[in-house]
Amino acid sequence: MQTLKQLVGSARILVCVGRGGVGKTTMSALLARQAAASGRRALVLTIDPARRLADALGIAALTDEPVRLADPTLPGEMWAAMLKTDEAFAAILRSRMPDEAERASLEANRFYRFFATSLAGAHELAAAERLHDLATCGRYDLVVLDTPPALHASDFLDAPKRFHDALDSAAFQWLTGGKSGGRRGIRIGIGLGLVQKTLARFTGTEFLNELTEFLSQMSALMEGFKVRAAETTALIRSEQAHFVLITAPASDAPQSVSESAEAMQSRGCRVSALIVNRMMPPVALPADNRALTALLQEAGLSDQAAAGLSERLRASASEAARFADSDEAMLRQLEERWSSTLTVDAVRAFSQEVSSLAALDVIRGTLFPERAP
Amino acid sequence: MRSAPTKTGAGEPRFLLVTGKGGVGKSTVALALARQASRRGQRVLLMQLHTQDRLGQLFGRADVGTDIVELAPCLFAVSVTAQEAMLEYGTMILRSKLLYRAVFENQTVSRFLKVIPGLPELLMLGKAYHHERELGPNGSHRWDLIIVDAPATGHGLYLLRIPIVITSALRVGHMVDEAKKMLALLRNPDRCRIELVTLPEEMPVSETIELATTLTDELELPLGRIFVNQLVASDLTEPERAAVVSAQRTAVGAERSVLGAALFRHERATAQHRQIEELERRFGDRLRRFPRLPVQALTLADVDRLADIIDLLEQP
Repeated sequence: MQTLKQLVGSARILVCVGRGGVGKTTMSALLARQAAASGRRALVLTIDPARRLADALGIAALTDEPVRLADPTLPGEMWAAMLKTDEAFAAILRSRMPDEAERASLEANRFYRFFATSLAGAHELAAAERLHDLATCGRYDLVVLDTPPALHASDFLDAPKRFHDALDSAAFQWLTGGKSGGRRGIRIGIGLGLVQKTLARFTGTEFLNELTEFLSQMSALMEGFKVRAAETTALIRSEQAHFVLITAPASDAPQSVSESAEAMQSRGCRVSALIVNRMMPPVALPADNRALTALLQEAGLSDQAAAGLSERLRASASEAARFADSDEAMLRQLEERWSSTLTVDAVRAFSQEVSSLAALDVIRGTLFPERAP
Repeated sequence: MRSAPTKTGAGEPRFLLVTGKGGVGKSTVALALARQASRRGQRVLLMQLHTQDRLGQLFGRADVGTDIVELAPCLFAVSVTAQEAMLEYGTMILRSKLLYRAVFENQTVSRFLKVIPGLPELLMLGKAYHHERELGPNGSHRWDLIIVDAPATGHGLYLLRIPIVITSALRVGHMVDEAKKMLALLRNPDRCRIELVTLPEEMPVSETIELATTLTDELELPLGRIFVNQLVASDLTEPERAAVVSAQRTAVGAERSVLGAALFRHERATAQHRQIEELERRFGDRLRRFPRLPVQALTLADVDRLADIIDLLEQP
């Protein structure tokens, strides 16, 4: 079993998986930065539509193209990119459609933009392709992928398959009356069967016609998609790719970690690390208030003010201790279950938010402590 | 920016859609709103769309499924799945379950249906719409209040965009008719309000501001309240804080730990305060504050505490 440090030093792909609000984006950036600190060329790729990674990195905005975060203190290179899925998907389509007339016809389709961004699995498909491109282009030693928060962590892995299943020839043979090889102008009005008629009652024939046309064009591109999806799947399942589960010590953490890990493993993926983020720092409580009151008096408070304040501080500290204890209990429970198969690390909560590289480095220091010289 | 005025008291919209970034406590706020209204005797239907939480557990029962269940007096809940909504709606429109099954549950067709953009979401919204219109045995509305626990930001926006995209792109068909009706509900500030939930942290706050702008300016939907969840309070005055900082320099052991915890809390409260100011500048009196509850696992008592706070906040 590799430690997190070893993973960051040797993996080619790290896929960070976790629910919303657990600090997944911050952790992804941190892992890439650690790789850069150890001399590697690392890229963090976020596919979240919001500008969260840019916020965490303290830079104004990220683009689809990787941007290097210049930092002379890093022996390696730190890059970051934001995957804009609609643009990425459009780019994929364009690259697969060399014929300009065909491309124009596709782009003229009224639903094209909507479809391109919302067709089931299109986002994930685009993300997977982009991951593949970036991980194999030779410019980066490590690509850290920050997946979008999903109900089920496996959505990301399953979506490309869903997409392909839906577009496979059987559906088209049926929909287009056996003319799925055709490229355009297929109208479902020809030989309408019960199925088509019924469907059309829902969607209207107009919608169904345009959808059919769009999907027929997509279908023609299918071979390219299939090849690339197979390559991406192979890459994600290879020994060079590892999944990192990220969680916060909430009461349902054990359940959600188990679900995610099982989902990944059953799909042939290597789950290698668990990071428990946002642990409340431990608090020790004194037996009584005397020493505390004395300290506050020395600090300039009146006897009465010091006594009153120390009472309040103790109450507040005992609340903090309850949070810390229950986080600690949660961590132990997770360690008991997982530490034989995964490397389990804890990151404590900070009072301030991570909004700069310097702040990121403080957390990085706790997760990857420098050995004393 | 177009937006509906915040209303309190009588004449409030009966359809509340709660959304926000993932992990901010959206479902908790939706439940607290439902609980608060049901305690006052309103018949409330809490609809969970695409969300996954342990609502049933809170009430000591099995997970809420696709059939409406009464969790507590006047508080009803249902979990809406695309598949179930499709069956219900499809049967209603086709007037035949048999025909629906023959067509829609055909393996090839159902594969295809999964990729029709917007259809599952439209049908889920359609089910929510249907409940808003639904009449009870006495001829009045069956539900006094419908609270939709919608998916998180990205998907939530997608959901709300569907009827707009469909009505602007299509002219005829059931989908268009349904989308038009839904849009009439969603855009009417007397009937509907989009409630947002956020945390007093930089990223959720900037995302919430972005979301509110998209909702009002682009989608022209009526924005409701903004619930800020998990607020940490620090009661240290400035001289007290200075004394704590100074005392910490010489303190050791448990005393040092207690002083450190106080500063940690104060720093967190201060950082949160900056975010609250940002939200106040943008949202003014739409803002509602919820304290951080000192619990790890939410209980019904905690939900009731939040419902008490809503009671206080919404008093005329």
